[in-house]
Amino acid sequence: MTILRTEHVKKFYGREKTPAVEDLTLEIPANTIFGYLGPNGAGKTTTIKIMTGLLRPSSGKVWLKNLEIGENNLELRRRIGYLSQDPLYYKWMTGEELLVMVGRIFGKSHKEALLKAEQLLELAGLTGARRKRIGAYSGGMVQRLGIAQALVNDPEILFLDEPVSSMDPLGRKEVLEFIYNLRDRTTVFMSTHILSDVERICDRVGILHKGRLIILKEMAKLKEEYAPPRVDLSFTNTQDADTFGSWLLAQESLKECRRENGGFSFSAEDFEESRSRILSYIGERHLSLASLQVRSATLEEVFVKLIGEKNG
Amino acid sequence: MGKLQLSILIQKEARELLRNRKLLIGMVVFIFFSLMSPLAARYMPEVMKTFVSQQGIIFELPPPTAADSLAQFLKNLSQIGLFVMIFLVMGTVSAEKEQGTAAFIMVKPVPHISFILAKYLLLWIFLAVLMIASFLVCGFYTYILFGEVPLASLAVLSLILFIYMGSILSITLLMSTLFSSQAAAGISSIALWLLLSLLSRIQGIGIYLNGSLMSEAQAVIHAMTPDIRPFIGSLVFSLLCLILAVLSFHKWEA
Repeated sequence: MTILRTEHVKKFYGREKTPAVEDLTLEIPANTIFGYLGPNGAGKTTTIKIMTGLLRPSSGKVWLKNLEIGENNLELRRRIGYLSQDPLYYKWMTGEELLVMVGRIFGKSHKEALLKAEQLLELAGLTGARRKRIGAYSGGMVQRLGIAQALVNDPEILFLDEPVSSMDPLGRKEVLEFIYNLRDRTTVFMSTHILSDVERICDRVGILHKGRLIILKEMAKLKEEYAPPRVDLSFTNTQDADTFGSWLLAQESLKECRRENGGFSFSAEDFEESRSRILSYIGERHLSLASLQVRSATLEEVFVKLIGEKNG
Repeated sequence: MGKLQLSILIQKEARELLRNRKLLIGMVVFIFFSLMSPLAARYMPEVMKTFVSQQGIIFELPPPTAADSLAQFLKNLSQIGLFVMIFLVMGTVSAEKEQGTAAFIMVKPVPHISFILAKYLLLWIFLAVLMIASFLVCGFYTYILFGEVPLASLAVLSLILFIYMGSILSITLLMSTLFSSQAAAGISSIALWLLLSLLSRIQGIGIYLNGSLMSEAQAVIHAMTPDIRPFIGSLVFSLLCLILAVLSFHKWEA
């Protein structure tokens, strides 16, 4: 079932001639974690603000199930959750007070709002800090509180704008795990420019480049179609690596060869055919092979390839 | 209109006023001037007399009265008091836009009018609390120093100050809605405050402007009946600021 749908959405800011988002048409299935990927300035935040009703599109339409998203749509705001990029909440409030206030805004009684706040604080791992001022929270705690406040109304879809981009590795891990565990509760639309984050938790991916959606696919299919598995091999000494490197460059059948971290990486598309040739060369020359591994391509490799193609 | 959301936002504004010490700062400033005004009125002539007599100049000043205390009260609060209030109020909406908390609230089912109206109502309540405290302190201290206090005049004077400051602060709230920078909101509202003071001197229309309330306040100090027109004009003007603030906030894109 499709939960969110956009049709030919376009957004211009002021008198700018180039649109921030151009002809955006996509569908998001329910109960997925959707990664909205793109470099800084690609139009990710603009898209999310349009989808949450915070910005008006210059043209095009957006639907949440059957509800068309228009200006100041209170009905839409009852049904979604949103975490902005670098969120700032009222620093003088405690985490619990913020969640209770949000619960009350959604029409819950004080008692219901308090109960919901308790549940969400626990889910976000903030029970111990419930009575602490938000101003004293760490970046990771604010982010988890931000996601918790966006879940108060049990939203049909949760929009997260760069939820972990400004965080340290430990905080990022905590928040990503938190998001991953939401998959049974709601649909998540998460924007980021960090490819490894998307790879870790998302089922589907959309890649935005200069305001245009250049790909929209399931993660597994995307990797399969746009980047075949790769072979990584390394040698114990530089001399052997150099010898192999010169030979590898002359092999036209092996594609996308790269020398990285003292080893080699190349496309495994034709590996089956070239395997015996590579191994016999290594054997004949008595090269000291340290490791050989066939692995799936990373999202980063897909991304670089796609963006590279678009940039010509 | 979202009565529930309005009442929740009013509670939030009230708590914010207490927690970020704005109420405390306002109270300290207003109480300070409510104490200083009778004190200055009572002892300033003597201080001046002592000072100039040391220079060999002799002059006579009429003995200070309770009316002088009221005049000082009016002058101090309508200038320094109002300036401090503009400083406290200028970030009401702009700071929330700047910091992203406005977007956080506005992506919840909160009507735009509730967001602004909660701030507007709290602004007037804040001012009312400060003016009631100032009225009591100034009245009490004037009585201590002068042995008498024109209570009715002081009450009307406090009401005039309340409406005058409220109408100027309504401009600050409007400017705070129009601009995303607190400094821009503060500077523009001070500029409009000065402009309105000048415009109130224009014959005919000037009497309806809030600047004319200061002339009416002088009339009250001298036991004369004030003209009702600047009161009506100022209240209508404040309401207009509220309407424009709501309309402008409706058009705001996060």
